[in-house]
Amino acid sequence: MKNLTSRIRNFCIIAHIDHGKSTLADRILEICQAIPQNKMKEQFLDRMDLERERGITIKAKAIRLNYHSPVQNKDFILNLIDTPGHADFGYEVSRSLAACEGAILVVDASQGVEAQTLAHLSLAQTQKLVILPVINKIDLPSADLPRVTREVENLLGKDHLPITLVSAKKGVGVQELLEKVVSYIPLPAGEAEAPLKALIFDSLYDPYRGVLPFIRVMEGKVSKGTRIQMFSTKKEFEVEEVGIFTPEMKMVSQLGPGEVGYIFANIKNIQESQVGDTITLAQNPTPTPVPGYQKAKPMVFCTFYPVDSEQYADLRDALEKLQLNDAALTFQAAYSQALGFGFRCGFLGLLHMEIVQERIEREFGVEAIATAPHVEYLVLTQKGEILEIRSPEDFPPLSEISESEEPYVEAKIVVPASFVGNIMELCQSRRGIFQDMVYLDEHTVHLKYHLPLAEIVFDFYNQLKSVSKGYASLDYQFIGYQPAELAKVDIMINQEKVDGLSFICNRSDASYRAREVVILLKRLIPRQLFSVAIQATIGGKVIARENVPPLRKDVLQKCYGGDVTRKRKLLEKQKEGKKRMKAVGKVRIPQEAFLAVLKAEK
Amino acid sequence: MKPLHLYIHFPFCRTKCRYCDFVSYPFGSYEDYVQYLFLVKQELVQKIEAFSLASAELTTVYFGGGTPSLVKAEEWHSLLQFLSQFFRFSSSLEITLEVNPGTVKKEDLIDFQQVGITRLSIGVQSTRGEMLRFLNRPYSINQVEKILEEVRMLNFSSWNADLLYSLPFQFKQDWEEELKRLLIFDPPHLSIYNLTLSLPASLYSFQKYHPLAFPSSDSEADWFYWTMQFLGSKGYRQYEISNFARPGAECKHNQAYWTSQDYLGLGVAAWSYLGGERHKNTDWLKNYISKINNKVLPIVFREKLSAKERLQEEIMLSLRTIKGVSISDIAYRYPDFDLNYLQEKLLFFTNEGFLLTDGDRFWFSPSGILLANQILSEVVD
Repeated sequence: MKNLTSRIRNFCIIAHIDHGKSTLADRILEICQAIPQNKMKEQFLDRMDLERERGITIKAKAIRLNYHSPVQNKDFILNLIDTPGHADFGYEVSRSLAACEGAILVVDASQGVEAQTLAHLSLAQTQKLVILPVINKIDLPSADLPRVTREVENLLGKDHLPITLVSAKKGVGVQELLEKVVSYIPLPAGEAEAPLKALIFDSLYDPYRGVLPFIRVMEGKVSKGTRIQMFSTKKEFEVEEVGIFTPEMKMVSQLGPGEVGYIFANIKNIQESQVGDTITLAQNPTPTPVPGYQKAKPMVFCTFYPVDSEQYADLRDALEKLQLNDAALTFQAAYSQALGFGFRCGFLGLLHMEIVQERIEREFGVEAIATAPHVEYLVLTQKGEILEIRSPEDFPPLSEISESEEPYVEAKIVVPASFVGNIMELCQSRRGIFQDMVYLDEHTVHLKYHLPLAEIVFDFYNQLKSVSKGYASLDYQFIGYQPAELAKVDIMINQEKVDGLSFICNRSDASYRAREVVILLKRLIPRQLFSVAIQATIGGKVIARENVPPLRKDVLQKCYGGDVTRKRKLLEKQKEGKKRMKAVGKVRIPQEAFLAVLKAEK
Repeated sequence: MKPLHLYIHFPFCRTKCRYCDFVSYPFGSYEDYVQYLFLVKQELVQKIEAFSLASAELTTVYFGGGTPSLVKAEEWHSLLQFLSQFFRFSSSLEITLEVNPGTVKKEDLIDFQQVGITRLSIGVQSTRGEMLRFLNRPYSINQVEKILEEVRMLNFSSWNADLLYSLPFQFKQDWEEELKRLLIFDPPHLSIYNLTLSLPASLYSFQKYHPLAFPSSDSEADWFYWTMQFLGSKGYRQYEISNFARPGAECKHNQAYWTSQDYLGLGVAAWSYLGGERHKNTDWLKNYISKINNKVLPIVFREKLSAKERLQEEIMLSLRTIKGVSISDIAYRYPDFDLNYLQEKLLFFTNEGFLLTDGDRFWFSPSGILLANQILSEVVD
C-alpha cells in the first residue's frame, strides 16, 4: 500500500477560458494512452456535447492515468481532475482543487494573465497546492513570451517552479511537463489505517444506479460493504461498488489514501451527495471533515416559460431531470398573466443559467423563454421578520420594511492599462466600491471592486467587454449581503397592474429604469382602437408614463370581386394576430412587448 | 329565374400607371383587343356549360380593366349580342363601361350609349395636372375636364368618377381642392380610395424609400372624415365605405358583390362567385390564350366556402355598406349558428361609439368606418 501511494500524483489544470486547458488534457491522455486512438475525440474530458461546443468544462471530472516516466524509469498513477472554468463554478473549482496536491497553471502565450487565471490561482494557493506554471500556445504567431513570462513571474513571486513552454495543439513540451508533475507534485499524505475521510468533488446521476459521488480519499479506505455516512447530513449508505475512471468507470476492490474514484451506494438524491461534503465511516466517523464544505446556494434567479404552453409539463420534467445531476439548480412553479405558467429557477450564476436553458432546449426539446436574471434580496420587516425576496411579488410594501440588503461580490478584473479609466467609470456607475489596483506588469492591471451582484447580472459583462474593446476579463465571488435602498416598480396598463412585469431595483435607479421600460412598451405596443396608458408606479405613485394614442384609420377601401377572398384572409390574419396578444382590459398587448420588458428588466 | 351578374376584364392599357398593381398589359394592337374579346366569348361558352348557367337572367354587366375604352362600341355591341344568345336580359339591365380620359371622343361616348351601355365609370384619379403626370396617367387635366363635361351632357342613367387621395406630396388643402374641382361636373356617383401601394406598382419602392412624402395614416383619417362630411352635405350618400351616390345612382353591379350574389367573371384575372364557390382565372395573358384555345377552363384558383366562411363574408361585406348587418336576418338564414358572440361584440362596439344600431341592424358610425378592419376582425368569430 505504501508503495502504491508513493506512485500517485493528484493534480488539476487551471486556466482562463480558452487558454487551452482541454487540449492540454487531451495530449496528456494521449501520452498515457488512456484512450484508444479510434475513440479519441477532441477534448475528451468535456463529456457533454454542450461543453465541447462552448469550449468550456462545465463540471469537474477525473481520470486515472498510467504514466511511465522514461527519466525516472518508474511507473506512476496520475489522477487528472478537471475543473470548470467560469466564475459561476468557483466553489466547484475549489473542491476539485482540494482533491489535488498540485495544479498546472496554464496561461495563453498571447493573451497573458487574465481574471480567471488570478481567481483560480488564488484558490489553488489557498489550498496550498504546488503550482506548475505553463505557457501554452507558444506556436501562435501572436505569442509574446517575454511579456507573458514576466506576468507569470510577477504573479507567482521569485521562487516559483520553472515555467514549461507548451504547445498543446502540436504536442510540444507535454512530456516535459509530465516529468515535472511526477517530480515536483508531492505524493498524497494520509493514513490508510485512519477512519475513512473522503472528499466529494463531483457526482454523477445515473438513471439506473442513482447518484454516484466522485471522491478523493484523504485518509482511510473504502471498499464494497463499507457502511458510510455523509458528514453533513449524517445519512448512512452501504457501499456496493467502488471504482476508478480509466476514463470508463472500472470496478476496483478498494480505494485507499490518495486515490480518486467513484462509489456506488444506492444514493437516490443528489442532495445526499453534495459537492464538498465528506464521506466517512458510519461506525467510526472521522472527527474532522475536509474543510471548506458549503451547501450549494443559488445566487441568480430567472423564470422560464415554455414558448408553447402545452410544453409546461415537459419543462418541469426537464428541470427535474437536470436537477438530479445538479445540486445547485432550484426551481418552483410561477405564473405570469402575460406569459402563463412557468418555473422560477435559481442558479449559481449567469453561465449556469444559460447552460441550463440550452440543455432544456437541446436535450429535452423544450423551447423556453428566460426572463432577465435577478438576485435574491433580504428584507427585515418592521415586525422583525427576515424575508428572502426572490420575486417582486414577495416584496412587502415600503411601509413594512425596516431594512433591506442585497448581495455583493468581489470582482477581479484584469485589463490592459489603457482601459483602466473606462473600467473604473463603469464600476463606479454600477455602484462599485474600489478595493485595489495592482500592475501585473507595465501593461496589465488587476482591479478589485466590490459590486452589487444585481449590477453584474444586468449586462455588466457585455458592457465590460465593450468599454475595453474586448480585452477585460472578469471573475467574481460572492462576499455577502450589504444594506441597500430598494424599491419595487409596478407596471400598469390602463390602470391595471400587469402581473409579471414588476421589478425590484435600487431606489436611485428606479425612475430611470421605469422610464426605459415604459418607453420600450410604448414602442412595442401597436396602436389600437383604444388608447393605451402605460405607467410605472412605486407604491401607487406614478414615476413614469407613456401613452399609445388610439389608431384612427385601418380600413381596406377597395372591396370588389376578388378582393373579398383577400379581405377575408386579411381579417383572419388580424384575428389570429389578436389571439396571440394578451388582453388587458379593452386593449391587447403583444407577447413580444412583455418579453422585451422581461428581458430588459434588471 | 336566377339573377346573374357578369364581369368582363379587359387587361390592356396604353401605359402602366405608377400606382397600378392590377393585371394590365401596356401593349397590344387593336387587332389583339378584338382577338381577346373573341376568346372571352369562347370562355363564356365554356363556363355556361361548366357551371350550368344557361337559364340565368342577366342583371348587370361590367366591362372593367385595364382600359376597356380602348375598344370601340361595335365590339361591345357584338359582345352584348353574343350574351343575348345565352341569357335573358333583365328589364333593368345595368351595363357599365370603365373609361379613361384621353381614350375617347364625344362621338365614341354617344356610340357606347347607343349600343346599350347605361353607365360609365371614369378613371379620373386626380384633378391636378402635375399629379396625373407623376402617376403616369396618359392624359392631361384638360382631357379630364373635357370628358367630364361631355359625360355630364349625355344622358347616361348614372356615371361614376374615381378619385384617389393620400397621394405623395399631397396636403389636405390639395385634396379638398381636387374633390371640389371634380364636383363641378356633378357626378351622380363617386368612388374614393386612398392610394394603397403593393408590388408590382413602381410607386411601391418609392414609398419605401420616401415614406415621408406620403400623408400619415392619421392625416388620411382626417381627410377621409372631412370627405364623408363634405359629400354628405352635398347630397351624396355613403352607401359603402368608399362609394358615394346620389339616391338612385348606386351601382347595382358592385352591390351584387357586397350582398354575396352570384357573379361570373370572364377574361384574364377575373373572379367568379357561383353557388358558394369562388374561382379565379389566370393572371397571364399567354396562359389564358392557350387555355381557351385548348378548350380548357382558365381557372387557377378555386375555393368552396364553408357555411361559416359564407357567414363571415356576409357579415364583413354587409357591415361595409350603409344597410349594415341585421341580426334577425342572419339568424333566419343561418339557423345553425350561435350568434351570441356576434351580438355581444356588436353591442360592445356600439357602446364604444364605433357602430350605430336600431336594435336589430348594426352599421358603422363615421369613426367606426375608418377602423373597419380592426372592428371586423373582432366581430367575425
